[in-house]
Amino acid sequence: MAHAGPRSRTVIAYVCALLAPALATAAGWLLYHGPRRPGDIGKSLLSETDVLMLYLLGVLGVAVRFSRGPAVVASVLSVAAFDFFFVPKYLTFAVDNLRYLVTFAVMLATGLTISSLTHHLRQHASSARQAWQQAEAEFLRNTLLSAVSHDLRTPLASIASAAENLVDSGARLPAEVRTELLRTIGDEADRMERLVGNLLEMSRLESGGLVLKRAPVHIQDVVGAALRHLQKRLRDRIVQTDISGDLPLLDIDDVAVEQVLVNLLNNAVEYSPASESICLSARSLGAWVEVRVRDHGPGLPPGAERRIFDKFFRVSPSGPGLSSRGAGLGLAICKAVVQGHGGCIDARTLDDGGAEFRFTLPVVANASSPDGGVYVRV
Amino acid sequence: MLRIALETQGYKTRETETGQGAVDGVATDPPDLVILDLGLPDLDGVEVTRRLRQWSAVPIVVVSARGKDFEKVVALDAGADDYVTKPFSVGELLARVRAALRRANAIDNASLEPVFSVGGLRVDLARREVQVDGQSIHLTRHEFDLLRLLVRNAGKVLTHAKMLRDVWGPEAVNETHYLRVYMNQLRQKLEPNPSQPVYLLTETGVGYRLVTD
Repeated sequence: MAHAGPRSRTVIAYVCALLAPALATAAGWLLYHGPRRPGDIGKSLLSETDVLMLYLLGVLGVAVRFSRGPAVVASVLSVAAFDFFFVPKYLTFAVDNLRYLVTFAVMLATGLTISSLTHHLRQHASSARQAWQQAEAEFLRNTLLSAVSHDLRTPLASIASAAENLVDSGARLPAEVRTELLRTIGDEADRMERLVGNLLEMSRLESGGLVLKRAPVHIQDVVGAALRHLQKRLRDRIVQTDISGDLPLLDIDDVAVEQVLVNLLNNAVEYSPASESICLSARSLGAWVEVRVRDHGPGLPPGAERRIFDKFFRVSPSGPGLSSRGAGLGLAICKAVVQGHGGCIDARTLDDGGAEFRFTLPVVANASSPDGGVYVRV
Repeated sequence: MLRIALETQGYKTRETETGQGAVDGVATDPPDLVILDLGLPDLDGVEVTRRLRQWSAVPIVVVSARGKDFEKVVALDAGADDYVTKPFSVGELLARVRAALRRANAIDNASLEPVFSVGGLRVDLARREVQVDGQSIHLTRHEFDLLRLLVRNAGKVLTHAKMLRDVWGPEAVNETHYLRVYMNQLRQKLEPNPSQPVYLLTETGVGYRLVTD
């Protein structure tokens, strides 16, 4: 029913409004006029009041499930059917007892009341849901706005002041100071670019859902590309890779997975001293390949292992020379991409310090072996 | 920005706002190289590439927006020589421009070196010999075919489709796993560290590139 259009929903509602009294009539007829209990001659299984309850049950069902219209139809039909089949002078609409008129009125009133009550209830529920969604969207928007404006402003301020310095007293500054200022401008612009990139990526993930273009890829392809992507940022940092060429091909969107690696490596650079190496390894786990990125920084704040994957969650800077930057979207993107592939991602602080991120990616089903003759096609 | 960067390097530049303008400009006064932004107001950048390729061999470097890998691949398959993705560094663009010009000259002189070498890698196409740091490496037929294709287009990005078509034939265009498996094997044999390749670079979502310097 969830997929039915409003029009076919209405049709279904009225069909049910017809069916409910019909079913009540059938059941009532069987039990009221039907076979008598042996030795209990002259008495029905049900009294008229019980039959009336059957009708009421039907009306109740329709009123709860559908809108007012079908409920009214169901109650009117129920009253008519009850009159026709169960009020003495059977099979006529004639009514000769005032008692039955009262019954009719109560039945109709019950149907109407219930349907209007459920109608109101449903409206309240939907407006409450809307309000909640709006509030949540509002909260997200506000968090986003404040995060973004802060994170864009910080590098922007550095750029502006470095540029101002160069314009005002560039000629008088020693060459190395000038280079330093220019480097600051470049680095901060890169930072802004990363931030804007992540924001765009996140909004793309949220608006269109995640569309993955999956194809067979070797993990070394993606790792090599991610490392080259970060060449400038990694500078002289030592990156150790422990990835066997024998690992099976993965069934992944290479662009999205490269982004995951870039974000994790960016984090490792951000949260560990430049003198410490970063390790990247991968191993086969049956139908999955597990990739690990570890750094030798201070590790994760205790208790934050899960929350770091939430949108806008940020680890505050700790340790000398470390600073927290970014909108807290990088890991949220990683999580969305890995889960989009059906994999898992988690993070932990290792016993000897440093943070380790692990994620799994699916292997191509029945990947054919190289040089096995399967590639020759005539 | 772009113009300042290019002119500082001694290149003369001409600009046009529209795709039609680019096609006309190349026709009336052929440049040495075209830098083409795929996000044009009138014609589709890919369409411009196609039209230019009908009668001109001018090197084309396309500029595309981030996240539009498909667009790049289509432009490359339509005949563009290389690409950069926005935002790119000036250095990156200049490197692409230099490489494209060098290739164009090499083809003009019809003097493609029979021996290609970069770093410790040396490939003798005529004698089918491959060496890494002086050591001879044995390659299978498909591995060598793949490497030869890369050497002949050294410095240039090759799309998956182009590589599959050239090495395995047109019916294999969608069999990317052939390519992944063989590129992986080539890397195991040629790269000092296959996870951090220095010769055979992956262009994610697009293809592969053999470095020239």
